[in-house]
Amino acid sequence: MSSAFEIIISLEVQAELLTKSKMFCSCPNSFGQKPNTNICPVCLGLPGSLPVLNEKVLDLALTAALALNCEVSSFSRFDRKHYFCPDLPKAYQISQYEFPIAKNGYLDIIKEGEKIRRIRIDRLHLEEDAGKLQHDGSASYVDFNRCGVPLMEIVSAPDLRSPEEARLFLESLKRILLYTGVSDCKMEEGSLRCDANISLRPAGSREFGAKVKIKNMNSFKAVQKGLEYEAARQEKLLSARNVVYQETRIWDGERGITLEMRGKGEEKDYRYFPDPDLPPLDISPGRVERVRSALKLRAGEVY
Amino acid sequence: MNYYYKMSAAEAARALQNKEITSKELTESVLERIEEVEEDIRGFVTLLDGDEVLLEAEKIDQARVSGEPLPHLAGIPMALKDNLCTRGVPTTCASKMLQSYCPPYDACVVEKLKESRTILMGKANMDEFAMGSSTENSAFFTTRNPWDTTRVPGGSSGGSAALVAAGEVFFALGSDTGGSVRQPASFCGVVGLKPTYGLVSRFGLIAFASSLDQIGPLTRDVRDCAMVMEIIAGHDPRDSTSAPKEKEKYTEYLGRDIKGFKVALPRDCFTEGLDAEVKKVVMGAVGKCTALGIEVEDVSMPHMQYAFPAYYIVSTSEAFSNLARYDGVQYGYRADGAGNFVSLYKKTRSGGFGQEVKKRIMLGTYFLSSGYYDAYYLQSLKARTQIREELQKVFRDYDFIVTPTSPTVAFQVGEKGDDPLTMSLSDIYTIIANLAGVPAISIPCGFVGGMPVGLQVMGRPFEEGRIFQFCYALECLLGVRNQLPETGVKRGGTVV
Repeated sequence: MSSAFEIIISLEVQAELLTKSKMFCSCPNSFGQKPNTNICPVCLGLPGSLPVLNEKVLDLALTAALALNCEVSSFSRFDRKHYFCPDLPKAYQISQYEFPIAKNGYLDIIKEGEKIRRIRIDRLHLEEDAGKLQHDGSASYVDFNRCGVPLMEIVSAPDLRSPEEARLFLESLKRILLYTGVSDCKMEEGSLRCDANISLRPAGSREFGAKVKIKNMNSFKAVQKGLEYEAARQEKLLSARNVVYQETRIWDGERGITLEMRGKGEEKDYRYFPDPDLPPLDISPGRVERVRSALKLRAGEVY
Repeated sequence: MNYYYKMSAAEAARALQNKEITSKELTESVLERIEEVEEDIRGFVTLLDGDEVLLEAEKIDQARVSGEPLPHLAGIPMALKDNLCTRGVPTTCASKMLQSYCPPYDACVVEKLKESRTILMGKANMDEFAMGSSTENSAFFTTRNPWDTTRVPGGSSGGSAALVAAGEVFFALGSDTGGSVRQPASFCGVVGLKPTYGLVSRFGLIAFASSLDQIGPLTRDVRDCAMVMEIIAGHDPRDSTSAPKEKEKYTEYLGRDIKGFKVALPRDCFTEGLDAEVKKVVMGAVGKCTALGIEVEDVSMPHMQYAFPAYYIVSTSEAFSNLARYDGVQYGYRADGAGNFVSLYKKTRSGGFGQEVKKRIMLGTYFLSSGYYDAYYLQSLKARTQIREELQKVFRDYDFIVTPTSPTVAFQVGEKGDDPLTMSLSDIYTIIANLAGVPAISIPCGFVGGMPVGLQVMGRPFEEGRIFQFCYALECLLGVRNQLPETGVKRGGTVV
């Protein structure tokens, strides 16, 4: 990368939470079972079924929020995010939009022997996972086992300045989530996933360029490689005075390139609105303190 | 032919407990009555096999003979609106979309009625996905009013109300999102309660608008209503909106003195649109309240004018979301000939839903669109808060708010078919209780031209007991309880 451009990266990390049962029902939160054996009316979204929050989910999210130096919201709630996909049985995902659990945190990354870089965290919110689609020739199959597995999404600010920093951020984050027992962070099993937003701007400029979202990077190394490829692609375009379109691209690890995934400029309308089946989250000061002291106790075990 | 079916549930239960009759005889009486009138009423979407129902009745009789302690309403035949999930029994929401759908689990209220050993006769017709006021939106057929089969039974729980009024069951459950229990109760001359939001578990109720939906009983009189509520009310950990309340003995409120109760009469409810004859009957009943030592005063509730738009925005928005899952992938109707996901969704949803359901989904889709949310949904939430606060204010000075249940008596089948807005306006008095989450009951208070008129009583949240106390006294005073249409059923205005 020449010094003519500055790279701007933010990450959207999804971590499955280490709970015994799923987010809104009592099905076990486990991996690797036969398709469609770990299901019930609630996670299948059958007519008449209702979600009930697994309180452990909230405690783990609060643990992560405090470990990542976030401001914990005094008011937080679940919203419904609507889209049609066969692996989403209710045709909406229970997620958080306007009122996430926590905001404005940070994570320090340390480059070899160099100074600390503080990366801000925009938000941390909860959502349920969807199922998996499998295509076989002309037929498609859905495995609903993963439906309702608790996910925590952590969105960083656009503070990362190189693909290497992105990898270092993920490594630090993984250490924290593993250490606090929030997630087992197995990228190969999909319990940690990461999308990246990347844009370039002329060195010294204060405005952001058009950002590209990259999906399907299945390891920390892939994140760094995918971003390196994408940075080079964008630099080439910009150097030739071509336009970088805002779009979503998919990382093809075998060929080592990113490919166009979703049409350019297509903005989805998820029609978010507060989920009427779920009351606002119970984030009392007492609960936050309880989680905080448990976290300090853990810290004491090590230091 | 016996006339056991004419008893109220409480009377039948007493006769069973005193061993004057058996459950088998009671069920036979109901089956005969169904045989006699169901062809004209068409209240059942699914009627269970008579032999199996009788077998269940016999089991209860044996248990009674052997001295086994039985719940109070054991052996009483009843029906359930077809949006309440019943394991192994089709639950269709009167929609082509779910015509073949058999849930793998029972709704909470169904579990409770089974534990109470009541006898399920079948599933009652309704407007598709509970959207409508007449059962004319059922994808299958229209149920008829037992008082005059040229008229509608009301809706959306029209099947449940008609079955109770026709003597085909002793009681039924319905669901009420904007008046869907109370309005048909009013049209069919039975008692119908929409409980406080959160009092009855919604687990297993197929959702229309989750923040407004409540399950409620339709019964022959106030006592029966209190008895059914004793069974179905109570906290359920599977419903996050279920209130953590202790169970109450509602029947203990019946017969208590009601002197000193204060009733508010919102004058905004007695103006234009209210049928003059209906008004006369309702005012006559209200006038008699004073004889019971009750103070009745006019009040003004200016925010009521926002109730209708707020209701329409909230209910259609939530319906858009709740009905999104019917996509032909997992269960229910699936259209043929789809080449990909998008065409599967389009064909299935176009072919599976009826006109009214599609209209409301489209409205909700619009109200929640990016850029419109603040103007519609958010505004309607604010209006809802104002309506709730206005009611709270009235309830600081008064125990109850009394209105007509519906501005008219039951209308003719087909009469309002082309004008969906007029039909919705017949819900005008009932939607406030859903928006505010307060309990409201409709009890029969007289007749206009041979058709029953309903009186609505709204109370403070979780004060169902006091509503029963008041309405029981009123019912005694008015002398209108457990009145079934005389003999057989009127067909086109002539007695057959």
